[in-house]
Amino acid sequence: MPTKKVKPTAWRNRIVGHDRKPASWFLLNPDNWKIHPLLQAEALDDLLSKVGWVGEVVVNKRTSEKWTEAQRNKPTLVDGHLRVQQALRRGKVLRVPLVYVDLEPDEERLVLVTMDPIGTMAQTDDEKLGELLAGMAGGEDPINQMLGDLSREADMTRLQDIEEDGAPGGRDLGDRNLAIKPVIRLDELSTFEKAIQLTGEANRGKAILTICSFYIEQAGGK
Amino acid sequence: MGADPKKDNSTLKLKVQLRINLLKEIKHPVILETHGGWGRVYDLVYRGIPDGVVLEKDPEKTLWLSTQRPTWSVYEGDCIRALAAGAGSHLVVNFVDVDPYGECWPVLDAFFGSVREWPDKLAIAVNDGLLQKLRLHGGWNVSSMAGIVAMYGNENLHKHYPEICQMLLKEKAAQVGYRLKRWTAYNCGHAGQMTHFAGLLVKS
Repeated sequence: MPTKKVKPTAWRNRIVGHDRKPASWFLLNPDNWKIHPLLQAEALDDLLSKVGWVGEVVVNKRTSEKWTEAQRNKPTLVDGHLRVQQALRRGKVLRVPLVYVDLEPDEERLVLVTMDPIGTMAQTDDEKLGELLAGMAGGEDPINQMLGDLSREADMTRLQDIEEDGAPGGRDLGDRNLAIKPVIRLDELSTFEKAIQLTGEANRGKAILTICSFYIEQAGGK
Repeated sequence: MGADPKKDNSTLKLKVQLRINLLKEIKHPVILETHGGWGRVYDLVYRGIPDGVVLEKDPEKTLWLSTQRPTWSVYEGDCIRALAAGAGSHLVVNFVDVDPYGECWPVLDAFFGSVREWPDKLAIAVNDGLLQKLRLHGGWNVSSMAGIVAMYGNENLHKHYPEICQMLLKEKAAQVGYRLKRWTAYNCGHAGQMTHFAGLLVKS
């Protein structure tokens, strides 16, 4: 009897087109939650300068009826905010390659929330990364120089596990109560900090407001 | 003539990388920056982290820091005295960044000697500038090296400084119940005069 081949369920292709648009054309997503430190921006700029575009930014066409009237048919950036911002810094007319998708509001939110975090779930195979970097670094090319630096510096700044446990160093600490601590107390600061702690507020601004309110209350509201 | 370590900015990249690597160890970082300066490291590493404490002696810089990071607590004054007096103890600090012009040990003594709530995991990143003095055989005159000089000899302190840093951090952290779990240390900067080290401490 011939066996029936089961067709694997295909994933839907949500990509609806590709284009290139000037950096000033893009509408940034108001729900973008990612904060890009200066170092990341500089590294990205460096990579784009050395290699160029190797990936498109993602723009949602928002044609679904589920979008509000104000949002519908307003192509909005879903991924690639930093790339667009870096392009803008170089000039509004700089063209940015993009891929169009057409997602509903819930889908767009899901993509916004998960796109980068899913990527960061990848674990590093240190050996493979080492081999890759070793194979790339060492030449005269500036990119190779950069990778060489990256490899050496990453080694220096990477933390290693401490094998022995428990022992707080090779010296006898003696009686802790007899130890002399170089502590100079600032009375005003101590009082202030104690007052802050007594409020039980984790937010410092709220704690200060609580203290002020207390004093105002003590002074009969004046 | 040697370069003034105060003006040596060649270590910034390493400083930043070290902190970025160390931050990976802490899920929800609450930062204590003992020497805020003009906020360069904040710009490169801590921007986006809402909770933190920064100390700075210079009034002009302090003013800048308070506008740079409105959600942080900004203290103006000598960091050793301020830490000892409990500055920043309203937050459970779990990431300490120490970047003094000279040695780091009085700052760490003040921190570990202060009354505050201690987290289960505590990350410490330090830039230390004592090595130059140790190279010039001045270790005997540094109070934080008392006892250490007898172990290594005044003339050899600089050769062993990264391991001395580990030993001292272990001792100081043990006073409040921590053990060192992860560690890195290296010399860098002009003529290797700076020492960077980082440790991840866990409650023993």
